[in-house]
Amino acid sequence: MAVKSRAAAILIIGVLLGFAIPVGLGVYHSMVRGGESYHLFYSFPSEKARPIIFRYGAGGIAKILDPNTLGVTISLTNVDKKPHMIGFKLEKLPPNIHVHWSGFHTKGFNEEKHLIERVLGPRSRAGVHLTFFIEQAGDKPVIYSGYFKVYDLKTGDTLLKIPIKILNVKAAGAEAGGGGRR
Amino acid sequence: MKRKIIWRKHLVKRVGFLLLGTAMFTGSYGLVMTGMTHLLLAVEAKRFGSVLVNSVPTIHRAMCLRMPIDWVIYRPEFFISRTFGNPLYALIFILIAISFFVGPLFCGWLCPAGLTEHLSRLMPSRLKFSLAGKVDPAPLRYGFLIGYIFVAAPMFRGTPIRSICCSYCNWTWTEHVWEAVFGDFHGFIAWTSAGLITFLLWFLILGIFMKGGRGFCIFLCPAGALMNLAYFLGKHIPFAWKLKVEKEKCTLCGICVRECPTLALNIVAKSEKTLTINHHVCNLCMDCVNLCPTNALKYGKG
Repeated sequence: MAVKSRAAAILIIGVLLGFAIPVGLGVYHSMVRGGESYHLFYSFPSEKARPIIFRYGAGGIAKILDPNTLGVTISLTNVDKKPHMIGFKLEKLPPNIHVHWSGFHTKGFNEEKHLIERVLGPRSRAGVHLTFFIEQAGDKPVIYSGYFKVYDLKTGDTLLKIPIKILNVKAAGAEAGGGGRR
Repeated sequence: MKRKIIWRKHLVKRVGFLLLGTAMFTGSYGLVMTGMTHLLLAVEAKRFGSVLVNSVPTIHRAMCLRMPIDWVIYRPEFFISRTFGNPLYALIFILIAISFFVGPLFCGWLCPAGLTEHLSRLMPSRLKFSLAGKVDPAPLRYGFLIGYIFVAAPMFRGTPIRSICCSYCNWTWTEHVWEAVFGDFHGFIAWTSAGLITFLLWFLILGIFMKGGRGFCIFLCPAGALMNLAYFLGKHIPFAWKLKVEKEKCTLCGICVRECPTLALNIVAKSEKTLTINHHVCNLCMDCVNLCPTNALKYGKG
């Protein structure tokens, strides 16, 4: 009998411990994500877009090794009925931020010109990965406030404009904020 | 001597298969991904063409458990169209279905993340810890699976808690590691803390520093847990293939228990001592079959 209850106790403890790992890690991830990186999903064309808000200085243990980088992966879906060839722009980028552009699971991404060299048909998806390298954040509460623009390469029309803010949580008077959904 | 040769041949075969699995499934250039993409394009160019031409499928899309869970909850139409309509997103279900009849052979022989087992063999024994015969991984493993599904619940919608699963993915990390081997360190830039913890757990603590090197697989891999659950359920049907022990041949020498990388074998004292197989964690690597001096362990039908 005692052996059976011991086995049952071990079973319950094991299940609870296993359960606690993804939940606990998820809670930790939600606490530090704004200071590290996002993966967000958007559709274009669209007039409205949820803003992306980074909290520089609020990252977790990974930022001990890599404190000055922030990353965002933007997955895009063409919800238009017609195909588009698209390019990307980051507007109002200050000189103390360098950005590395790369395609995310996307064929034909031109890293230098920031565009996709293939036509994106209706329902097609593409992804862009942006890595921000911040040099000398200084004391300003807002390091960057600008837009990530998706535009049609043929017509030049703006298809999507996502506001991006990088807040400096270490600076006095920094705003609180979070990002969009995953 | 003969046993040693058999063992070495077996190891070479397994490393070969795991490298083959890496070539088949890793990253967007995996043979399976590329082949299936071309096949789908050829068969249903109109339906899938525009999607597949631009979007590059990778192992963690094809084998992501989490996206189908999300689809079931939030976008059932996606679940139907993507899992049944596009095999690139359904590979995980095919593997689970196969496991029901023949066991999780994918885990033992093809999963690229399983190469940690052989890297662990290269580490000196004094640097490794062993859990052989000390822990039953099944409760923790299924608890993890429940938690993994739980964080997808509607009450967490819009919160980053549910996005943990992307950070928590050893397949993603396998891709990053292989990209880095070929000079592309992009996957390591802007990594998340949760991702870093996964990497430490998968590759280091439960990987190369644990005897057997399969700690992540047996404790924390949700896909593996589902494949083993299917194996456990399937083993009761007479025509399913499974690992068996012939008790009359077994001398209880304990070699298999010490060497099993998934802690699946144990000598249990009931009315008399017997060797037991834990089908909740066995990944059919066949190490025990090839190590057993009396050929007491067999993989077969019935």
